[in-house]
Amino acid sequence: MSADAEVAPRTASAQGELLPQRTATGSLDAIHPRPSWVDDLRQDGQRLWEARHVVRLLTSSQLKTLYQRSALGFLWSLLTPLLMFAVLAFVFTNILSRSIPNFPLYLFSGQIPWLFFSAAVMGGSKSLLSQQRIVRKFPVHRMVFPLVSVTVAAVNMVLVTTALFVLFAALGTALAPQLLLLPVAMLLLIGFVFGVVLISMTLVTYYRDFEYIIPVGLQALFFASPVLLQPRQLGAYRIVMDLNPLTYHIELFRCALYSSSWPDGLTWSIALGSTLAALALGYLVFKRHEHDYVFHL
Amino acid sequence: MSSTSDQSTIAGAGEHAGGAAARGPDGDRTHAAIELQGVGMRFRMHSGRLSPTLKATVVETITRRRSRPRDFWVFQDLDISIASGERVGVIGANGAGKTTLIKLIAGVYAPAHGTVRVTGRVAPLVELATGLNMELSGVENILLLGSLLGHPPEVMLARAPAILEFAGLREFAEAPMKSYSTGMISRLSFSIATNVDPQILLLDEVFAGGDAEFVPRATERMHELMDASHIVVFVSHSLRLVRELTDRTLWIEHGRVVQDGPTGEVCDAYAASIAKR
Repeated sequence: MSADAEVAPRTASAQGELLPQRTATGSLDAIHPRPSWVDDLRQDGQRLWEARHVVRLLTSSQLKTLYQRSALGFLWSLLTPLLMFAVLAFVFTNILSRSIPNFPLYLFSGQIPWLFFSAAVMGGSKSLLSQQRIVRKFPVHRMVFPLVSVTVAAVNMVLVTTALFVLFAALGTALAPQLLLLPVAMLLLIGFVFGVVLISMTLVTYYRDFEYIIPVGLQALFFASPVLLQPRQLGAYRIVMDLNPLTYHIELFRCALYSSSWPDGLTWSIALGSTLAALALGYLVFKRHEHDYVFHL
Repeated sequence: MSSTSDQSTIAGAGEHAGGAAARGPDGDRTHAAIELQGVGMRFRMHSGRLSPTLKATVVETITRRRSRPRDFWVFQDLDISIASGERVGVIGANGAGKTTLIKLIAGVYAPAHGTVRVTGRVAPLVELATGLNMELSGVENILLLGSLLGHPPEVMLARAPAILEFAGLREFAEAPMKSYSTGMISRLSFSIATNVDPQILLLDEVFAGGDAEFVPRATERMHELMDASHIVVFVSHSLRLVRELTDRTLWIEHGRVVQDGPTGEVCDAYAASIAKR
């Protein structure tokens, strides 16, 4: 008990320290006064901040798994997307090159956000399930687990983008001020994905069937996003891509890496709006099920 | 004993300190206490399963014939109060709600009704190895399990040498846990769990795992820890251990407290009721 005796002063009574206290009230009981969503947010923010060490340690363990599993380690997480780009670029350059200038770069700059999105959704959706050993035994904030999955995917995205930057430059990414859009685009997409993951995680936890439905949904979304194709190439189906919020997130990445242009107002507002909407909706869904996830593992 | 941040970590580690209650904590916070007031706890069953199936949900939505989920109440209106200094045994048949009670106190389950108030740092010594990660090294696992129990890394790092020493794993500190044997893993988790200065100790059944050489040391450590803890809640099927380790016993049956009193009396009554069956 002496290990942490070098403590800050606290408002304890004369004879003893002030002990931590936790009060759980019935989820079906009417609580007066009802906590507002501002209170909820503040409290969750505080509890997530307190759980930051759990987040950090779980993230580093998952990154280790990701990078250490094979002999080449981190190199594979670079090579895999690179080889995938190469295959796609080779196949599609011959078909689409005439309509899209500098197609390899177009493809690369779209694949970066797309691979992050699908990795985060795949990992985050089953994060409670795959970490159920912890969820069922420890009173850790449930949001920690999707947060870890999204963080792992985000770290990977940043590392891959940084490592591949030489390649981007060689393919024609201009060292223009528009590159500053990249961190903004990443942050917006991370927020969007986190909101989406809170919802998909709830679906998967309640109905395991979604574990099989989500990859199919992602495949469909891939073709509804401007990764390989441009909206105008879809003809009558263009509306699908126009309505897909991911289109605008990808457009931000393209502005930074491909066209070195400033995004228009519509792109900005839909990217920002969809991020806020996804976060709000995801949070709402999460709060509604927060205490029940554990029963469905 | 612990830093202010450490405190708030634990206070916040709870499932959901209710908005109002979290801001203005009630009661005496200088003594460890467990307070359950009018606690109701249910498992919601969807035609015999905990989770509804997608098929059933879709069919019911289309046919507009929603089957009502059936609630299985583990506890209804449960009141339990445990004060600092008490050693409490919990006995009862399988399915009586003993483990659910431990999980409510640990903050893993949230009550459906009523209030669960826990004052003091809780260490649930319940299958702790589940918090360990095979990819991480011994030291990293000490940090991870510590943080899951609400202890900041700097505190755990300071204790790491003692933890590894006790588990006899000093030379394996940096090795990934997947290279450990089962015995090494259970020694490590036991050593971490018993090195975190809990004020409230929750024990579910047998706790000292490991090889023949380790068990006596672990048992000794366990007794030390029980002596140092302010409150011990011990769930067991072994009346012998309950008599040996506790002075008050709760006999729970079908989610109700059948008898609550001095361990000797309650264990005698429980033994008699089993003999009668």
